[in-house]
Amino acid sequence: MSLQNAYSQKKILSIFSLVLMLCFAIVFPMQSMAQTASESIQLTDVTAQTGIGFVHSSGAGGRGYIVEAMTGGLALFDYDQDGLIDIFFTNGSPFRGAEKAPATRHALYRNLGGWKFEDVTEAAGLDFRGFGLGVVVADYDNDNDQDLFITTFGRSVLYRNNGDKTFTDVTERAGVAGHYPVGAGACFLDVDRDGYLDLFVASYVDFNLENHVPVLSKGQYLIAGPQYYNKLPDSLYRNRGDGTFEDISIASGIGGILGPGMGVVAADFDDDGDSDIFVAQDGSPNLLFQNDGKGKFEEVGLLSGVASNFEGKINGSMGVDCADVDGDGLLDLFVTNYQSEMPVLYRNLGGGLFEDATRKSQIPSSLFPHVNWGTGIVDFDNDGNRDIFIANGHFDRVELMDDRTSLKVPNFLLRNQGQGKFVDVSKSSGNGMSIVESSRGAGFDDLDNDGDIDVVILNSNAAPTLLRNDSVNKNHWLQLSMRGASSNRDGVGARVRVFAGDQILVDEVHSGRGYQSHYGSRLHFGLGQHDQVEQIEVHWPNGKVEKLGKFKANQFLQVQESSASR
Amino acid sequence: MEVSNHESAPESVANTNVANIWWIPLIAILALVLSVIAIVLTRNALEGQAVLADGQSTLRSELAQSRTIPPSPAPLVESPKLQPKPNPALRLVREPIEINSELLQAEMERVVLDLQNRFPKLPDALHVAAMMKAQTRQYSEARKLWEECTRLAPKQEIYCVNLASTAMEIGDNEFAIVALNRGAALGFDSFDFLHHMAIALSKLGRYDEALTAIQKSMLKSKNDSSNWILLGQVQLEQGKPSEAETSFRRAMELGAATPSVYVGLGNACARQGKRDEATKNLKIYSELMSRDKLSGQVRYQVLSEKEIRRTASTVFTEAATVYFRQKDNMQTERLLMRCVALAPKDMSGLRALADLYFKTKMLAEERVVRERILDLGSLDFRDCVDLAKVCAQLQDSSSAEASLKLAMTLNPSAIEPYATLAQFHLQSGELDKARWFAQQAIEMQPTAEGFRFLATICQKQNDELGASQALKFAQQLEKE
Repeated sequence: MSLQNAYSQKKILSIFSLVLMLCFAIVFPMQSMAQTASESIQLTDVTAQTGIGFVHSSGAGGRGYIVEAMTGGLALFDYDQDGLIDIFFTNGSPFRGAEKAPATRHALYRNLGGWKFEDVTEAAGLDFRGFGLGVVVADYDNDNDQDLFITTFGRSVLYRNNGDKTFTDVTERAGVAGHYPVGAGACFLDVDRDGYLDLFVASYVDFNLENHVPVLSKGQYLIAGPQYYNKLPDSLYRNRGDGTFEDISIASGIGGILGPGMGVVAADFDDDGDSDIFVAQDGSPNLLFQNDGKGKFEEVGLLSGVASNFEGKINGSMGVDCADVDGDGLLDLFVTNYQSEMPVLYRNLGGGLFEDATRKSQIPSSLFPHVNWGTGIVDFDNDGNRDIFIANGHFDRVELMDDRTSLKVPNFLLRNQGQGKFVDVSKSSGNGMSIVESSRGAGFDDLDNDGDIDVVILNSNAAPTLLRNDSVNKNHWLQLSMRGASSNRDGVGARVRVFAGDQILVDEVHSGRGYQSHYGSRLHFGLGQHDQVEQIEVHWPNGKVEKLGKFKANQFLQVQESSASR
Repeated sequence: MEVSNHESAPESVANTNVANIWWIPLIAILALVLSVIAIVLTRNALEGQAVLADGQSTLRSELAQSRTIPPSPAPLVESPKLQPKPNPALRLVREPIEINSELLQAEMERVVLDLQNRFPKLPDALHVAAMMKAQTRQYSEARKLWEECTRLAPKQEIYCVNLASTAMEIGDNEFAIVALNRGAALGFDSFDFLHHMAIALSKLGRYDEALTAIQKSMLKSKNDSSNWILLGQVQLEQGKPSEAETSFRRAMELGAATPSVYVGLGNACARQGKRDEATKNLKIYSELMSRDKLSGQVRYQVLSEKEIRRTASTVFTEAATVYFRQKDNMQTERLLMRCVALAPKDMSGLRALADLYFKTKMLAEERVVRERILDLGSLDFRDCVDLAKVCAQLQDSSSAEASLKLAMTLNPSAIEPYATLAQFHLQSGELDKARWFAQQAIEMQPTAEGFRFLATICQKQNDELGASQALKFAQQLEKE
């Protein structure tokens, strides 16, 4: 894969590649970052200039179907491998009562560079009109391009990337259409470390238009919560390596647990070298499926401390992201929750245990009144401390019933002051944080390849929001694209440690995170004042550990696993 | 005169005649009788009405207070001057009225608005309005009203605590601390106040300060399990799982069996590597939670039909209390009647209405309400005693006696029905019965007052020896 096209748009200072004898790595240096004295995060709303005309629809026809609230997620990925991150938005479709609404479809926008995007949905063969809920991206067939899996109210859809800027619906052949009516978050992960990405799909509830529960209050239909419907199990599909999948939900232990799943993220939470799965559940205990390394899972949410908050409250959890927020080398979890519930930061204590560190971390209680959805643990100011973005908004006219919040509310940005202590900087972080919408999925990637992380937000029944990161500081950064050889091609599940001065930064490649979304395939490390990294250590999903030597900061590196044999 | 042959009656009293000198201690004895009646009549009928859900604090009802402090001593049978109306001007609703939740909420809003308009500078009135606003999730309005309450009556702790609670509901924990610190500067230091302070501080992650507040509140009530749970939670977040385990276990010893205590204990054990113990407690937590289904209405932030009726009852009762205190008995009656219409079988609403009629000497109406309470199956002997009293005042001695016997049946170990029956029979001249009940009461609880009362009966029976012995026991008990 080449990133040259992208770099040429951003005044590339130099390009070079290295092949390391023992390990890997083709290295593409990039331009230095602008450096000024300001330390604040600045997110600028650039939506108007992007040419993105997508307008989301929840399909609402006034009856308050539960899936109206859930749609939807988005994906940030480089579908055409030109080095620029493209955007896929899921969309709803009109229900009865909304027939007069404009026809809706999902949308793929190609990043042209310079914050210009082109709608390539039809050209890419993605003119699919099912009621979209979630989306995840990964190169499931290891053919060097990223494929797309969409969950819907109805059958899920797997689009294989043909490598020529088009996709083909391979759902039926792959056998991943699913058994349950309402899909939610999904993630690709290699459960048995055979080098092929398997697929986990969360299921929400057993809803259809016939068993819809109407709730009328003050002349409007409110959306009935998941407690009115039967719970369903999640699904796990094993990738056979030939383009088809085998449903191993029951055999793996996943299928025996019922619950209204929403956002999911897979990572090695217990540091035993395999990928576990966290499922945010709406009004039921969150699930943590612990992998035994062979693709068998034990649900340990309760014992690990992530099922509820500190006082045992079962939250209506929506989205989730994981990263090391306190610099201890362990992956923590941040889970967004329903109204009148605090989002929860679960700090990883090691040994498979987590603690609710929300209060300790000074996550602001001003989040309490709102419904939180999309989220990302992202280092916006490249200071080496991961900040937190939270997308908010309700699905009912809640302001008629509760004056603390509203259908549309601003999003939140929490700056990490170090050691996992946060401060709310929403009001001082640029005009992008003053937008008031009912936001759902949010994605975080470097859309303009300038070394900092930008934001894309899907807003319910509205146009999306694109926020350009205009933070000015003297901090350095490094971005890594992982390329597996005997491991899966995207390196999903690869754990990376970056040694910079006295800092050890940790991250892992995820496929599927946030609120039923996908972003961050390219790992991003803020290095603070360190202008070089001493070492990069990669724990590949197959167990192999490789180390890279010194690298200058402020560049993109593609890290190739050494062994080419699968 | 024959004396009672009750086996456990004091022998010296039971077998002694006394001289006919009954008139000497008459005045003192009458006072004692009246005090016995006063004890009997002590009740707190509105208790619980003023409690605002979710930890919102309470407004002490003027009506309730008037019943907490015994009313002016009065004999069971009023003086002949009192001529109660023979026919009550009252009909009670028997089944809950049908009413749309939205209409009921609108009615609540009207009641509160009227209250605010009539008493714009009266903290109690604003407090009722604030409670209603908080219950209906109009938190900004509630906060403003409680701020005004704290301005108008800065020394009322309840307003300060409610202001802080509302701020926490809005997610403004910083302001909650500001409000509570203001209260602390004014000297507020009740358990409730300190507990709220500890909660607010812990929400902000200010654990050391929270611990200080918890320690202070422990001095007020070291056996409150909620305080031990809070302590355990703070200790766990401070990375002290062993201490947290001790605190959670102490909460359990004090009777706590909530999901929060089990999850806290489970987590504390897990962090100490006590996996089996952790699993055991987390399993109990899980079972408790599985019974606690998330309310759909909670999710919508809409009050359920049941909740809105309960809230309306609370608001109407509280508003009635304010009107009563402001001597507007008509409004008080109207609002309490409305409470009864909303919940005709709710004893507390009926008791509040009965107490209003008692205070306003509407005896026929009071009797209707108190009879309704018993018809609904009240098992509280005090309800029987209250009905007996009003029947006696209405000069219906047989109904009064029947009620008192029912009171004894419901609570045979309570002294009040016996003492009251003794007094009742004394007044109606049935001295043998009076003596028997008095001796029963003394047997249950020997008091100086009881013996003096017995002496009175003995004197009326011309049993000088019995009276003398009874007085001797009374004096002996007084010395002790």
